[in-house]
Amino acid sequence: MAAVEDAVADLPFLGAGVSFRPAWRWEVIRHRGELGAVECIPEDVVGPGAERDLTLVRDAVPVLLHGIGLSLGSAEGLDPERVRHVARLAEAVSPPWFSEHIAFTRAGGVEIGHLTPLPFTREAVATVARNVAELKRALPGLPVLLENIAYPFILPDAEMTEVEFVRAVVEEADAGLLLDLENVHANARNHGYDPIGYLESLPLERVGEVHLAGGVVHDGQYVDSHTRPVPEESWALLEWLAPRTPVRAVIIERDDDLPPFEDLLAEVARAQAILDGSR
Amino acid sequence: MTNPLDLRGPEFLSFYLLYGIAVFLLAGLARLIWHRTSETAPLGTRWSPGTYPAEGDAYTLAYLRGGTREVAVTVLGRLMAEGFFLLEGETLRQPQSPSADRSRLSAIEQAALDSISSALESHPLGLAPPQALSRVESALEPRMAEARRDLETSGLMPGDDQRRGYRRIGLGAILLVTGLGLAKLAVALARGRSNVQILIVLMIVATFLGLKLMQLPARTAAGTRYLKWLRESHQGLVQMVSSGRRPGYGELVLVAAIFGVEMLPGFTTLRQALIPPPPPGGDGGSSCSSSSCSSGSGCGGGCGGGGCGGCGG
Repeated sequence: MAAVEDAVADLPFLGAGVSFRPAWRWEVIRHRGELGAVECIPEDVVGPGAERDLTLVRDAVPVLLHGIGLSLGSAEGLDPERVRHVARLAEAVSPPWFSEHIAFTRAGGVEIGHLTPLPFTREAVATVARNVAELKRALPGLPVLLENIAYPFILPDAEMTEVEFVRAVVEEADAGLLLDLENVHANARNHGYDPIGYLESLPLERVGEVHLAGGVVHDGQYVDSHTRPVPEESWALLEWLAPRTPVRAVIIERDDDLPPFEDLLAEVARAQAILDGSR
Repeated sequence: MTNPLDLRGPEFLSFYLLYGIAVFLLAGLARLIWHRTSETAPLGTRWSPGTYPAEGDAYTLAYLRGGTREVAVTVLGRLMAEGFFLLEGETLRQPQSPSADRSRLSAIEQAALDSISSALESHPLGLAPPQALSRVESALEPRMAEARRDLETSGLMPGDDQRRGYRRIGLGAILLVTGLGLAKLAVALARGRSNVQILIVLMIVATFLGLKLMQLPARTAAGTRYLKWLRESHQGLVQMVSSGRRPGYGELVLVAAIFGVEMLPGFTTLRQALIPPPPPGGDGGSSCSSSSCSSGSGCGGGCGGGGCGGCGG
């Protein structure tokens, strides 16, 4: 157990950055001095040209790889081709760690198309841990962080709460934690619990990375859509969290309704100031 | 084995031709190997693939790409982009009411601006673009010495050691081929022969080729690799500029320095105005009169034939 905590603390400190979008390629390079890292989704990097482009970005700013399609919660195991793709990219851009979601995106060989929450059961914990072990064998020496996701509903037959589930997964998988504070904010709001109480129940010593984003209210549910500026509630969570964890990077995520890059840089600067104030 | 100097005229010429071809092929190969292996560029320095240049480095990059002439073209593009000059027809002139902010200019840009402004005082109707370019080149040439030193130290342009290597290879080829020709000439004249015209022509050709082999390339192999990396790594900037986003002046200069001023929207014909193509049937060498060509500083290998123009991206 202590090994993972030490490993997280020993990861390089990168600071605040943004999720990478090809449209921002030059902006990222131009503002490299203001960005601690950019985070790229391996599934978006297809073909040698895209891989080469990513290495050129890596020359300017450290690149983090953040998977969305490995489906760590699938009982059928990992797709070897997807794992090989991640391994090839990891070799190309040398990220300091790799992250994926505590979720499944594939069941019975069928792609679901989005991150789906797992049942909060011991069996699901064991499945994720087994898949993470396989992933680690494919990415030797590369620390793995697992991310909490937003869940609009709780699958039946839950044996534990979500926070207990996340804790159990990272401990059994012996992995670090990528804490998505917007997901915490969304879940707390949608399910009516105290987000600070939630955070206090997590193994904070394992938090290596934080995600921030902004969402929208849809049909009465707060959805982490990555389309809006980071809300004040999530900023407050980061201010609470930063001094209590060894967090090495904060990534501002934005997928749609892309704003002028300067707006994102302002959010990056705010996150960086919070990190600096907590170190 | 027969002494070649004792061969009769036609036989000697056949031998001499084959001998000369063999020597120059070997010398060309030696030059290529020297070009590829004589690098001294330390990796991970300020000027190496993987290290992004600052916007302030743009003119050094333009110098690496095409010597002082490319720097001058780039500076003129930058000055015109901000409205210090206008290109009207075939005349470069100042606008009626200049509004550009001189205080934002770097020392190189100010020197270029001064060189044209002073000329425009005596030519109120404007300057022909090639004339303006020539003035800017003259003004900038002394200022580029530091950039050249920087690039030589970084192994991107040939330094003294490499220069000596190219000279030795060319000189060796001249000694072997022209030297043998001279020896044969002396023997022929001593034996009372006078039909040595073809031999003399071949010796002149050999000397010319040897001198070409002695010429310095514009860049080392490391310099060419670095330029290639710059073009790859700055594609995002070019896409952004060509998609209509107005770049900052620093970005504008970077694009012009790395890819050529013609990559900037609105400047596609500037190079042609500054460096008019030679008239059809011309020798293509007349535009190489400026100082950028005089000291092996940028018009050698890599630009192809046809003078200094056409080095751009």
